[in-house]
Amino acid sequence: MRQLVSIAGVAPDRWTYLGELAGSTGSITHLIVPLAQWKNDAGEWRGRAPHIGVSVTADTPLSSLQPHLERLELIVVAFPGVSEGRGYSLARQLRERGRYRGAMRAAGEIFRDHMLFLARCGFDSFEVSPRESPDGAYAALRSFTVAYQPLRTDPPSIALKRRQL
Amino acid sequence: MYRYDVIDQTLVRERVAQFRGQTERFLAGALTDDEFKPLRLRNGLYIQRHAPMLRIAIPYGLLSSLQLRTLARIARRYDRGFGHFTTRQNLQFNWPKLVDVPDILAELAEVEMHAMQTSGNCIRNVTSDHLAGVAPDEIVDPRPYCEIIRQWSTLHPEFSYLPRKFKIAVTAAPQDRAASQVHDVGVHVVRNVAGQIGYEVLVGGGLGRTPIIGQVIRPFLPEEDLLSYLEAILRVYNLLGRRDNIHKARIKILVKAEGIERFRALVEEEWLAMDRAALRLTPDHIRYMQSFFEPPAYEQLPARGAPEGADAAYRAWHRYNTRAHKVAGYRVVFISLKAQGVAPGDATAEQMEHVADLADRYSFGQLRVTHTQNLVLADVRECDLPELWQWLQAAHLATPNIGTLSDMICCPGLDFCSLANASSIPVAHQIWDRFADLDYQYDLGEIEIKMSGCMNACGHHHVGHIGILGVDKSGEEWYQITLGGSASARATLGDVIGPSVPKAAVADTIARILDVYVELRAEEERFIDTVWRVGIEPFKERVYATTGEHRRRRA
Repeated sequence: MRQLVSIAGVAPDRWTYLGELAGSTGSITHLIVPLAQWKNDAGEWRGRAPHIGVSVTADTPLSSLQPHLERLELIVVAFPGVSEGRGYSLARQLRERGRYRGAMRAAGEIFRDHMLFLARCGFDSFEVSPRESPDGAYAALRSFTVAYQPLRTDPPSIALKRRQL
Repeated sequence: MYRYDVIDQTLVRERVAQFRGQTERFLAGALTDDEFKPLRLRNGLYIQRHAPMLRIAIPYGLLSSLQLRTLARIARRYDRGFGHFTTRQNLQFNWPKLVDVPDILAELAEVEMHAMQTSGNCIRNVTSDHLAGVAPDEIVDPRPYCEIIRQWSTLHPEFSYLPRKFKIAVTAAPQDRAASQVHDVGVHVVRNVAGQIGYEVLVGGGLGRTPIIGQVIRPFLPEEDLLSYLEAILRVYNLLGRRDNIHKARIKILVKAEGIERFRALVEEEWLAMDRAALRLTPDHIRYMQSFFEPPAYEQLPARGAPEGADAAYRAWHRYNTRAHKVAGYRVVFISLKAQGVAPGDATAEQMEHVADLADRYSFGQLRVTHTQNLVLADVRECDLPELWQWLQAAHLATPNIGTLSDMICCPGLDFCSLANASSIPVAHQIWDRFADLDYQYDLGEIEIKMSGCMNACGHHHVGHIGILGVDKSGEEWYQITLGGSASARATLGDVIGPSVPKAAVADTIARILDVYVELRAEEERFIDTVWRVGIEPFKERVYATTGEHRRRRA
């Protein structure tokens, strides 16, 4: 089972992607559906599993998620490369402009060097690259104990001493 | 100057530890070249022609004598005994070993320095006026705002993977001494009619392949909103800037594509919707930052004016290498890193230590790096000038050529840089040698020659009165000449005069251009003013209407 890093630690991922359904047996409780497919028929998906999350690519504009935010439990943002930067701004927009309070996961080419930046932008879970160790990535969330930016999206459980303006 | 508190000091130490781990992972094969690249770049480390190149941040060009001594020690211990000051007021070492870099960064951290974000697609070292705090024409000291921006932009979680690099310059005087109009963002600290401090914000300037003068996005931004507005600009750029083509990824391309009106609307919409309060600068915070830049303990001294009857060499140095100071009895002293036969901007470890001693003795222990690749002792008593001049002479640092033709801006070029198409340093030597007569340089007056070894324009050639761009033509080095550029308050991009010239003909070509200037100039008219008045045609005619020999060489 896939290991998922979160602010709280490393644990097996209870979510299943739609693409992983083939071949799986038993009932699915947590299902991740691409945003476009979910938008087509949100009601049908709710019948497939009690918990539904959506996945988007990092270049998705806030406007295509905004109308649905109140109904979403999980948004997965996929980073296709180590230098993809749009997902960071999208995350802050979701948290600050969209007031989205659900779970937010960064997936794809995620290495330990990204972790704290992602967490500070509002991500709370991380599906790291197959080439990265989940434990190393989790430890990297505490690679800094200080920060300059007073961000409202800072995770409270990571006690960063921040510059106050 | 700004002094680190426990937050700053902890941050640089933790950054060194992080980079040590990244380097170890790379050397152990856990990171590929492509994965390590963005990590090392954000710590100033390039892989260059001969060896790695390490670029160390000198925030807004301000250094203490202790910091300069540390740079000298690093130059000696880890490099080949010299360093290169750049157009971003930084220092580059050209020969460090990759395995030594974490140790170098650890030594820097102990003197409140780092190499963070001197490269990579992130917010780079903020630059400013090298006369900040002492210029008679400034409205306020821009450095507290620079430090506020430095801190906000350092390891900014949202803006560490931008489409491309992002450069911010801050000035607070009508004279633009920081080339702020050719930056991704130019911040001009201004005072409105009501007497309030705020900022005129420019966006979308830049040099490189597509040179553009920045446009005003906000004529007056209230003082407290600096960071939130920058954050709104950066967010719009981060989301919409092109990532498919490295040559079209800078913010200037986005601003051009959207048009300034639409781009402004996007930024204002983001700004109004975002959490501005979290980034609002309080008067206390601004005062706190200002407290680090209080004027030093100036003495009450009589103004002395220009020296009379003194040694002619001293008079020339006083005239060309010193500038007015806002406090009577003091002058600003430029230390020329443009001596004949020396790569522009280079300083040896011995010279750095010498300058550090002089800064302690004559200028309150501080100095500045200019974007024109010289050093400045900003607070020298006029009565100390003759003695200081002698000390500078002894270290070959008193070439009286600031603002003259031989005070060239020059990138490292093909000799060091793996991006370059052509060499720059040998061409600088060629020009220096051709016009070695300083009296001729003085007769020509103020001329800015700026030279880049490739389109990336690190040498700011587009905004040189005379710009020189190295190009590669089937494996040979050729040079394209532009005239009429300027990064002054009236920022202008130079015009290409015609086909490029071979390497051996660059100084000759400049000689022809200068001949035309001498013939056409009105009384006391600067070179740039003559070019702007008569246009490039007369220069073009002289350069290309030439002898058969010249024509054959061009063919």
